Order: sequence, then C-alpha cells, then structure tokens
Amino acid sequence: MGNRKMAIRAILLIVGFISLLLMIKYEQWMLVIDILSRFISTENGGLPGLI
Amino acid sequence: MAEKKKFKSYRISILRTTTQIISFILIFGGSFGLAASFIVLPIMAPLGNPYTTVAGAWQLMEFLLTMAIFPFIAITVIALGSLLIGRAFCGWVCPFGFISDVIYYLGKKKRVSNPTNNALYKLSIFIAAVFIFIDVTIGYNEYMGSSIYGYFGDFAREPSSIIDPTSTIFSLLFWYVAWGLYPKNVTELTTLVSYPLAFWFRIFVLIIAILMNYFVPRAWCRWICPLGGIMSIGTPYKFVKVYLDPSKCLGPTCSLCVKSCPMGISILDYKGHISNPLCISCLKCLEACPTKAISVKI
Repeated sequence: MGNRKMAIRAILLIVGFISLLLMIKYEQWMLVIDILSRFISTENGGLPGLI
Repeated sequence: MAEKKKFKSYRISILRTTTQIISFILIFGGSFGLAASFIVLPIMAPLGNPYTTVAGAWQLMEFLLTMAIFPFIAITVIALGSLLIGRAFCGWVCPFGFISDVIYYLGKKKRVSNPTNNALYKLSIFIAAVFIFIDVTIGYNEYMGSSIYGYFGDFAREPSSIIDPTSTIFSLLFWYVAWGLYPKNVTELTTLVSYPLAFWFRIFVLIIAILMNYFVPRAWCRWICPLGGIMSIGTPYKFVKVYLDPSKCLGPTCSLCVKSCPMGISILDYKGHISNPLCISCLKCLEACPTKAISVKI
C-alpha cells in the first residue's frame, strides 16, 4: 500500500473517529431530530412573499 | 428462458433502481407518517421539506456551521462514509442522483474527454471549499457576536442552497406550490415579474442542472455537487472497492464498461482497484462486462 494511500486513510479515520466521539459527547443526533422536526425556512431563499 | 437471461443481465440495475425508489420514498417518508429521525446520510437531502425523515450531510453541515456549532455528526458521516464505501450513496440513495438517473435514461448520453472530466470534477471541490469558507465566516461572526447574517439575507443559514437543485425542487418549489403562491389565473401572471431575483436565479440553476444531466450523464453530480466534491477526496481510498482483473479484461476492443459508466470514468486506465474519485459504485461496469473481469472487493 502506498504511503499516500495509507496517510489519507489514516487522516480520514482519525478525523472520523474524533468527530464520532465528540458527536456522542455533545449528543448531536438530538440536534438533527430537532432540526428535522421544525419548520426550516433557510432553504426557501427567493420564495415570493417570504420577506 | 430469454427473459430470465435478460433479467439476470440487468439485475444490478434493477436492484439499484429499486433501492433508489425505496430510498426516495423513505427520505420523504413524512408524507405517510414516518417521524423525523436522527439519521444523517451523505446525500443531498433538504432540511426545509416538512416530510424529510433524514438529514443530508452537506445541508446539515452548512446549517450547523453558520450557527457556530461544529458539525461533528456530518463530518463523521462524510469522513467514515467516504472511506468505507466512497460515493456509493450518490449512486444508490441520493434523491437528486435518482432524478439525474431518470434524466440519464431519457438523455443524450454524450461523453466528454477524460482530461476534461478529471479537470472539471475539481470544480466541485472548489465550490465546496468556497461554501465552507462562507459558512465558517458566518459562524465565526455569529460566535463573536458581530453577526454578518443580514448580508446573506435568506441564504445566511445555507448559502449553497442558491445553487442546490435539490433544495430548489424539494424546498423552494415545494412551498411555492404548497402555499399556493403560483399565479392562479391569467391576470395574476403579472406578479411573476415582481418575484425576487433569487427565485428566478434558482429556477435558472435548476434548469441548467437538468439540461447538463440531459446531455452528459450525471454532469451535475460529477462537476458541481459540493458534497460529491468532498466525498471524492476519500473515494479513491475506500475499503469496498470496484476491482478490474486485467487478466480477464478484453481491453479497448470491448470497452463496454467505459461506455456504460455514467460518471465517464476511463475504467480501462486502471489495473486492479478502480480508484477514480468520481466512482459512485453504481456497478454498471460490472453488469456490462462480458467476461466478469470487474468485481467488488474489500
């Protein structure tokens, strides 16, 4: 396996697992449920009569 | 017997299309009573549609970054997802990918040269980098208390939605129809002139995306999609690989795999692991290969 391949895999694994641990620590899945359960108008930019 | 053989030769396409249809129904499962879940997938799924049951990693990342919340959940999905299966979700689950595939079946299926394809895909990484920079800037200002939120208007929480056809279809046009904002008779047609410029710009981008996909298969996914751009960084190094066995391959005389690839990858350039960042693991090459030289390996 090439060094570049191993390095990128290692970086992605480290970033992924650190993010996973912090996601668990901050219980970010609750944020996802909260965001999906309420009305989000942020993707409606340009909708006539929005403002 | 002939029908059975035909079914067998298209079984991966049938399986993939079935998966795409089921995923599409489940992603918008709120329409038949499914509750919002905590699932985040590496796909373009709008947060603004009331029926969405899963969050798209890109949209969620933008939304959280601009609110000065570090999007650990989205980064986990993008980093580990791309490392494990690459861009397979683009090919098997993404709602806009599904729409692109439908357009692909109806479209012209033109090929672009390999250097152009490889050069243009870097545009998606550039677009992703630009939007992440904007998101971080908004988030940082939000955190420091000197909000620049107002400068971005309606696009402050998800700046990329201005060029995102998924949110244009499933959020902007959804609410446009659901709230009955469209002209209901001929006299109301004059109101179209007073619509915000952003509305027409988003419709223009949507039409461009559809036209791009009509002429070149999955052109939007290849060259513009910011999530695809980020996912393509880890895709060449994924653990579940599409593998070409050079000893079984008939070479350029056959080229059925190259002709069938919707992402325009020159598969024959690879010996062994097809480590192209654009590969969406749709397995059309595997299906097209007459000598079974292509397989999936871990």
